[in-house]
Amino acid sequence: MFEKLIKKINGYNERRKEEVFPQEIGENVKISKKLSENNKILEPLLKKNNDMVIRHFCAGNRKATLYYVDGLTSRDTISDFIMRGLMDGNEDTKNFKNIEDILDFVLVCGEVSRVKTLKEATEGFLKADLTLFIDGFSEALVINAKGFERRSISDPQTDSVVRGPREAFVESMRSNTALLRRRIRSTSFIMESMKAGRNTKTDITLAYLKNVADESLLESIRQRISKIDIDAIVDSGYIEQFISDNPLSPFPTMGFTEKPDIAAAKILEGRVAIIVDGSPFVLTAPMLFAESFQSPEDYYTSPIYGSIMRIIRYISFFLSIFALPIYVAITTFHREILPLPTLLSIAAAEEGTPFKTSTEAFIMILIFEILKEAGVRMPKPVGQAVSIVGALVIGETAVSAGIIGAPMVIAVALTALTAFVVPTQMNAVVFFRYLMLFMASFMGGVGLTLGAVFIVVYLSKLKSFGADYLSPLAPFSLAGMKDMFVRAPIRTLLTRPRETSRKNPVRQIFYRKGNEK
Amino acid sequence: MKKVTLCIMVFLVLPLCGCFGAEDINDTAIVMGVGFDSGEGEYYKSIVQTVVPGALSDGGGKTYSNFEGDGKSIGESILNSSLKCGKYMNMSHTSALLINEKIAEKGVNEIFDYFMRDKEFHSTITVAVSEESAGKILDCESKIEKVPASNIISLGRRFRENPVGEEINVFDFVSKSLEKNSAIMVPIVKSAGDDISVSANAVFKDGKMVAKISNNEARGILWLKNKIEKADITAQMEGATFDVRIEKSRTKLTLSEDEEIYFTADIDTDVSIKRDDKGVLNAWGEEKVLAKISDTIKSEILTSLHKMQEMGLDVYSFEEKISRKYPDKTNNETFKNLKVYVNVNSKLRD
Repeated sequence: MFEKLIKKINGYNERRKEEVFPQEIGENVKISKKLSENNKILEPLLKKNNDMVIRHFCAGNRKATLYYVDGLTSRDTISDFIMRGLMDGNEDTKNFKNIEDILDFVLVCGEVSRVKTLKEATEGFLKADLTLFIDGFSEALVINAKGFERRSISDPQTDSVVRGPREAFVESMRSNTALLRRRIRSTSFIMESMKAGRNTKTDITLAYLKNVADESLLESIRQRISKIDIDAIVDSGYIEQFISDNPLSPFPTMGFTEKPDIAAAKILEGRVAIIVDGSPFVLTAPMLFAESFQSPEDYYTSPIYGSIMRIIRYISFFLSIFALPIYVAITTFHREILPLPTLLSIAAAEEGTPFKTSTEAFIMILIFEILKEAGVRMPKPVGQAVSIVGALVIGETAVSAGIIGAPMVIAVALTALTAFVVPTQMNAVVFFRYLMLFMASFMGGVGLTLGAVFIVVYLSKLKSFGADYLSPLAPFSLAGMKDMFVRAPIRTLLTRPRETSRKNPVRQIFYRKGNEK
Repeated sequence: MKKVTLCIMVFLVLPLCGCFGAEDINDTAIVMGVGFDSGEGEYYKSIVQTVVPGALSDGGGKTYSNFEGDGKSIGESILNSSLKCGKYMNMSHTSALLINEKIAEKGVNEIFDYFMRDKEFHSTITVAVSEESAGKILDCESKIEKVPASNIISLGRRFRENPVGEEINVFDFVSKSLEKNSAIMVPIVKSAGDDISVSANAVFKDGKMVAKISNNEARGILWLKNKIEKADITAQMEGATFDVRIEKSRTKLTLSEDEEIYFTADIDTDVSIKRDDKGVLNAWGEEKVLAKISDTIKSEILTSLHKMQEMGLDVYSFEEKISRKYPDKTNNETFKNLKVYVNVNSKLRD
């Protein structure tokens, strides 16, 4: 019945699939021994590009062509260490017989790979290396001469800490892998590379600890990424939506972080980090609900302070969803539970306001979301204007004009403020706040209870790469409780989280003070 | 697809049962106190006091408004008064119940039954009897309290400093009236200028007000009920008076049987001398002065006790206590002939 509709929604016909991704160079076109034949295929494809450099020259006695993209490569490397050696006319280097001779005696470069197909050769120079074709050989050399501009490592925009490392990932994948490798100096730390995106050919790195991470988890991540068939991967968010178990879930089932110390800690717990070129956000999987409430600072400061802050985060999360709905439910359905003085001040503030409490709540929360969005998107110089409009017009004037009651502004401000305490769950908070508000304004406390049950049931059902989202709460693990609501001292955290490290749970041997042997 | 349809259906049904009991805070009048006067003939006249929240916070205008209604029954009179109010009367915060003396003498069982059964009224409403019309008391614009009903709510606070009566709420009243042969003490208020004061205490038995006792007699009763926290007494020593402040007091009642049933009350008080311009403490010494104080307290207790025994009004719940321990040993004369031994032990606090 819906076939036609589904076709229209999809926007393309199954049969036209092949035409969607035309291939300019076939998968299996071998590099020809004759240089002119290779050039005949490549040159027409590339000559229109103003950033493409195609350099014909003589390497010893043979003709050679160099392909590279200007701006992505280092000119010094090309002229000093590649072309100088090939063209210097030295008798030793002039009469090389095969590719090995060039590799052994001529090229003064670290990373060189030999490729046999034209497709691999083109990919070489498109990813900022350079490709060298030499007449008479059926192989080309892809030489690393990367030299593009990259942002330097700076402070993170999210996950800021008072105490702890201040480095953040950048857009270039190699810098990011370096940041991780510097923290985990172990041969069992593996960085596996993958690719996705037909046009962007984005590099993806899976980083994990070989002896801790689950093989089945790795296999499922590899499989899910390899199934992606899209023209472009612009950011790690694309990958997340493709491979996460529940892309429609308001609760995130994959973690993301901007900080290498967080990513390293998660890898060390047995998770897999997915680094996508072009994105400063590194994905980690699987993700547990408890992770959203763990800040790296919990582990860097004293356990007592860390535990208090963590409990405050849980309270904030609860408040950010429920504070406003509870206020609406109480004032419209259950006034009798308020003490008389509280009720009187609320009644005094709400007296004469034109809207019902629930309508007021919806209006205020909508205005707040708009303000928040405006604050994020607007150009920095006009920032002040937004804060003035937000604070004065919405808060102050709405109350003094008698359109909104003052306690409502407090309730909305509380929900707004607490939502920022747990940034990872911000999406879920916004979604469920609306849902709860709806339930509360229709059914009061009964509605709130129904909604809360719905959230809990949904959370317990949710899985992330085979791990139960609510673990270690459900299924319950006593050892996991040490790092759930409180943060036990580091020396008592003997094991890794159960869900992420079934293979190798032990982290440390019990630490004893003193001079025992 | 089936699941989605089911979800949509469930969510469509939910709002149908929604909004039941929803009442916006702007559409409700918050009731703080209810008073009952006797109307014409057999009619009740109810006075329902609602708050005007805006005036409370601004400090301008009248902070309350009273709605009156007549009816043959309690419920009817309250309903009729709500007809005069443009908003839905929310009874859940009612905290004062004022009953006119005339109604109290006729019987209050109907009132308490209504207040216990109604789902909106809490059972922690403070009860008082008014000497004059309840409407007048509920119109006393006190200087301290913003709403007249608060004068009655604050009775408990007054009694803590100066125990001349006992604060009692609807639940206590009803549960005490279920006790065996017991009488209940309720403060009587009257207007004194702008404020209200406690003039005496009414004693209820079987749902009717049967006696009136003075404030001093009431204090004598409260000693035995262990309800005295602080009090001021004046003692006399050979013509010289001195003032004593009871800082702390604890009464321990023990019921024992030996030939006959009797109570022993051991009262420990911490006292401090407030006024001693005649130098009583120096002239007689600490021990004698303390003994005198104890005697004064003891005579206050016994005076009240004898009066109550004479009238046969067991405001102490003695009979209930006896019947719990010795179920078969109570009769109509038990309280009248009951022996209570009082030992007062005073201690000077620096």
